[in-house]
Amino acid sequence: MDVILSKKDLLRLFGRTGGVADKKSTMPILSNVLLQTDGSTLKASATDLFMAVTATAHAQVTRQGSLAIPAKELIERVKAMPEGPVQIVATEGSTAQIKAVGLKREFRLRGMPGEDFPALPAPDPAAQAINVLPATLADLVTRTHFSISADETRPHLNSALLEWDGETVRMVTTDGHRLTKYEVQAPGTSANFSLLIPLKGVVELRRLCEEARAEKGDKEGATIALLRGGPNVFFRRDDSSLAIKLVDAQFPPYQQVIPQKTAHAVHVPRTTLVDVLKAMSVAASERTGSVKMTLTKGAMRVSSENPDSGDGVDELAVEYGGPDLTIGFNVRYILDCLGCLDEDEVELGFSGELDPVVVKPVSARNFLGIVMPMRI
Amino acid sequence: MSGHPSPRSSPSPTRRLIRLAAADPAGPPRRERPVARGRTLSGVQPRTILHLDMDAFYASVEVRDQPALRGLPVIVGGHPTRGVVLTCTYEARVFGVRSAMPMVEARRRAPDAIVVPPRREAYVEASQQVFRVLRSVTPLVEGLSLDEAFLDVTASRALHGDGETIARKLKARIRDATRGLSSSVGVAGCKYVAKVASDLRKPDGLVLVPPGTEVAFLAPLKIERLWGVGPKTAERLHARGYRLISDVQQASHASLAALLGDEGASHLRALAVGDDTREVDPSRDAKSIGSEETFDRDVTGPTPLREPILRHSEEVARRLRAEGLCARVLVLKVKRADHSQVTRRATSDVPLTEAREIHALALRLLERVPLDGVRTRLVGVSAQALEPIEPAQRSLFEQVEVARPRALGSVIDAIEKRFGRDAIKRAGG
Repeated sequence: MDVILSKKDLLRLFGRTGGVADKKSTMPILSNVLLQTDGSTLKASATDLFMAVTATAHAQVTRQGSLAIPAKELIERVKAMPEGPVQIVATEGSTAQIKAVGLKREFRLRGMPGEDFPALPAPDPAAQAINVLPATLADLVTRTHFSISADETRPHLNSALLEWDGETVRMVTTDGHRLTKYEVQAPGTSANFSLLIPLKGVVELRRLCEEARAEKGDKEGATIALLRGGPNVFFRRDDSSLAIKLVDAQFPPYQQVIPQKTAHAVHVPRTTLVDVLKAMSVAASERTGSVKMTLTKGAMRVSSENPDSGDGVDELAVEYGGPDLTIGFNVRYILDCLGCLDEDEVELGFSGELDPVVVKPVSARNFLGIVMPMRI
Repeated sequence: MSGHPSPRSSPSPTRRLIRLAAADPAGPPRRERPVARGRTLSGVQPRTILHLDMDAFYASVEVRDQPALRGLPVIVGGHPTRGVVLTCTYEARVFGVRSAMPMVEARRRAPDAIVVPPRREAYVEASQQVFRVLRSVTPLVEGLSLDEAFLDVTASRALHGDGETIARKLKARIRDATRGLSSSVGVAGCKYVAKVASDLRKPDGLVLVPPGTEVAFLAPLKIERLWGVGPKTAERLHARGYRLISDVQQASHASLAALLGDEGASHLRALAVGDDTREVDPSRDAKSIGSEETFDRDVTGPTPLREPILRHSEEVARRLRAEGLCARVLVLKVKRADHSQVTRRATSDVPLTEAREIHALALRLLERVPLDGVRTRLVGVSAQALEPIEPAQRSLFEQVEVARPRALGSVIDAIEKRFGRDAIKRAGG
């Protein structure tokens, strides 16, 4: 293998793949980036066996071939190169020679034969691609990712449910204490399936979408193709792709815990409520993050208390005529919901002090946040 | 630091007293007090123990919240004909009304007294305010009930002043925090003397018993004030001429042992001179939360008990929630018409908090009480082995099938493990 491409392109390739290379794996090869030539392109791949990322860039290829090179060390050396073209040559003993073209700066870095790298998954040849705008996928993730459980021992909660229902795409996440559901229309698509994407995969997917938007905007043609293949799902854009091994578990029956309706609803300006909740979160107990919301005629009182230090209180005028109701909750859960929305006005639905609180924008019906209260 | 060892590691206090005495069958020589566990090694620092008792607590809360009741005999109590007095104002005590007296008797003695049904939430709230004040002085607070606690302020003296100063501060701050409720405090070197002291000048009392004055302080009091001297023991002691604690102080070990046995005599003689080494145990808060009722008319068989058990399960769950607690043990109590009582208990692996769980478990306990054709006058549910709920965050899927069988299943497992396979079966299964 003998290739030349710009430092900028190399850093872009390794930026996409370096994060997936698994430094802690018991398999040393997984901490490497696999470099492969393919005609006049250089392909960089990395995997932790649960995910695989591949990125390609146009290159001046003098000799075809492949080589696996430790990801972290490779990136450090490319970063240490001056701007301009960089040459990477596979030399004897699977050692990479990294040279600044036309200059004397040069590194030699021991790698492993490309053939030792695990085979990367590929979609079914017959799989139908679903083409969707990066903005659509990015929105789904942005508006739901925060309620994915971080607990890796509970894979069914440590993942996001992606449902395709005709032209409707839905993402649902829950950590057992709260649940977020968001759906959008993806015109021109038609499919019917549901997948469980692990948290790590969701993070990578978000990055893929953000990159796509940053590079191409939401222009026509900048779509991401979703494909299925074996236990994996693939997200492909023109010069990179992401394969994610799906979670083989049962997502909780989320429809059953979404209240059909709530007894009382109040409308609140979103930014005002965020401001009040953030202020009161300062005085909340750090351990529980618990804030109390008390609804009385015409007012919503928000208060917090830390037995060790003191308390805080604030009040918002709202249209409310129901019975007095006090409900406690982890303030972060509500702030996460409000933070992912951009609508001006939100509706909070309440039933009882131990019943779920429902958060949704007043002007849209496609977002639903459900937060279970705390006993107070 | 106080240097107190973990309270959990100390054996039962009464047993300890007895054991120390039993090591010398002739009885320990007087005034050579056994060195209490938890003293500093120098052995010279006497403890300062406070016993604080709210005055006519429930009734005071009612009077505070309904000022029209001020100055009147007020009784807080349950059922007018079959319930008992929970507490009453000092104005009602003038008529001879006492806590735990049957309501019928109380109304006979004080026909004009105003009877108020209990409002548990209000008492819990006031109690929380009281305990918050107590814990601001020391973490060594042992709650005995909603309105009564021991405090070990030995280590707090450097910061907050001597026992008397702390007691005065606590009384004033409780009055502020609860909008006017008064309390009585006893200050002494041990729990027993502090408790006796707090009761002497009620209401709004403050009684100090400096170290070394315990014998003189206790001497003129009646022997009924000694723990462990109930009506029957008192009768036997009276018959031999023991009326005051000073009589016990002067009695020989042998003469008391002839009446009460060796251990009983040692126990009594130690208490009579204020020798009580038990530590204030902050982990002993709130022993149980129960709810029960005496029926207007006795009922027959198990079926009529099911609905009251549901109500009491709900009440217990509500109070557990109110106090932020969950229970590991559930006890069902049934009192037959002849006043004989049966209890059944179950230990749960899953902390009990929900009415549904408590009710289900209580009904299974009910199946274990032979009640066919038996007339019952009282049924009650009580939650024990209480622990704080951590965390208080409610779960979304707790009511959805996937989560349920595991939780219920482990309760059933626990019962089976304890009582055998047939002890518990699914209803309708």
